[in-house]
Amino acid sequence: MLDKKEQKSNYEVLGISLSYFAESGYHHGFFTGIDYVFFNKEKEKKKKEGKFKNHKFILSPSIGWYSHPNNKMALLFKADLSHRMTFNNGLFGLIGIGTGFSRSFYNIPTYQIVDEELTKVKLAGRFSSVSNLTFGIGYDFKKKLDIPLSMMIQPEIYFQTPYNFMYVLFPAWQMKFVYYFKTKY
Amino acid sequence: MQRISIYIGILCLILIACSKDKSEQYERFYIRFDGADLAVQVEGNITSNIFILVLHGGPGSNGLAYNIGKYSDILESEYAMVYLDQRGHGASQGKYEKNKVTLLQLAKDAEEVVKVLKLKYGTQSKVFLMGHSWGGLIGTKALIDTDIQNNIAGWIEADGAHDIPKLNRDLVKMFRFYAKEQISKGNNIDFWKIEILGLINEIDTNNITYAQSLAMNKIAYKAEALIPEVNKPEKYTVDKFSLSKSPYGIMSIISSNFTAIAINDETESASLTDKLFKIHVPTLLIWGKYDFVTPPSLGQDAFDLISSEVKYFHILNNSGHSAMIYEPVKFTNLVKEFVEDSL
Repeated sequence: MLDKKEQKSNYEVLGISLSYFAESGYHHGFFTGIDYVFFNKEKEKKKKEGKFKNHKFILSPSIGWYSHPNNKMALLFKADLSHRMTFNNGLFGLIGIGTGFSRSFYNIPTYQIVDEELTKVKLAGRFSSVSNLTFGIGYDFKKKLDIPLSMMIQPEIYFQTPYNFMYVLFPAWQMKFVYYFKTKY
Repeated sequence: MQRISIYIGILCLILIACSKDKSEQYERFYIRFDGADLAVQVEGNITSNIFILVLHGGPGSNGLAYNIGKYSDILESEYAMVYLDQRGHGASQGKYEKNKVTLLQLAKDAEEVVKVLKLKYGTQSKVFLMGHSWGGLIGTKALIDTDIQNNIAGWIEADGAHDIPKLNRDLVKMFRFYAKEQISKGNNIDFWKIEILGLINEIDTNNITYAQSLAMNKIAYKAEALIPEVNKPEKYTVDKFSLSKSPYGIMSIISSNFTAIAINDETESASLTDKLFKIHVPTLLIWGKYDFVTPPSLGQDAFDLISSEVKYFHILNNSGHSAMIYEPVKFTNLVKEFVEDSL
């Protein structure tokens, strides 16, 4: 195990993530991406010597997929910016925002009439932009076990536009694992 | 980590175990038209080549809300029922401007669905259009303002709402009549006196506001439930898909509500009584006697004013607003007789 000074002097900067994703809570999917820590600061609590709070700002580009049976599958490409605050015991909370786009693919056939003939639309689906607000709690295994792994649960709310004639909102959640393979000294 | 994997595994197994596949023959597809991808489910006896296209109520409901109970089982055993999620509702999605959220556009969508059914299942196929409640308004609009009558074998309007201003005026009269009757019989006197008469006595029938229309609509369901002659609605399952396989989700609910709000003003002022003479296809009108949502007088108007040579108007004496749920056997017998007569 690293002592406090060593922990403070280095931090994970780049990791690879894998998440289980559930649109609306029960439409299964996954995300994979990169976590890039571009800001790291350790703050000692004023009244409690030796107790630190670690603040990180993280950029996370990712690609994801989910399936809504009898409706559609969707690919999502997005980047999230999040602030993570980690306590001495390894627990952390996070808040973040993200933006990107999605391409849906209908998982049932799509027909249209062209010149009085019925034709099947290939790869039918729609492009739309997505934005999300993320909250989360998690655990940093580096703090106690010296494993460069973090695990978190993130409830999210998505804003997708266009959807029909305006926009739509939907909730989702992720269970995310990040393995950090690069550390900054 | 290992424990979490086990929990996730157990959760997945539960989800798989709970999912129930639909046993009936059904087909789902989208129809792309004017920016929308309209979700359609065809279910039942497809080999009959007789299709009943259901236009759901609302605005804000969805097609599969009509794939319920005994009535749909009976009709599906004879014919193919076509459950359409109208533009902006249910699983229908797409990308279009707000000016495409109109009654005329929804009527054109219905016309397009009929064309697709004919092309997909063969020109010998017979399509009947069936509209319930707000779907009665969309169906009537389609019959009047599109060429759909050239492609359908008949029109079934069940408790339809083809004239909302008249509906509101007639509803005031209907409430007054039944309030008097129920009070004289000693039935739920407080409700009829305070809630019903208290509400309608405030209403100027020459200027019924949206808030008053909404208030009457809300209390109408309570009123029909308090009439002793109205059957208890049968117990039914709303959707035969398990939750994890349902085509609907939170997005569907939100989007349906946005669409309902967008089309609400046009719906509230829609009045098609003066154009009913344009309807000439065989027509079956079925109303619940105690339908306080869309009074039977609207059905009588339709019967009197349409130009169809073959037309029937039936009032089911033990029904409220959804006759197919209150009296499913009588309802389906009427539909079956009508369909067989119209072929």
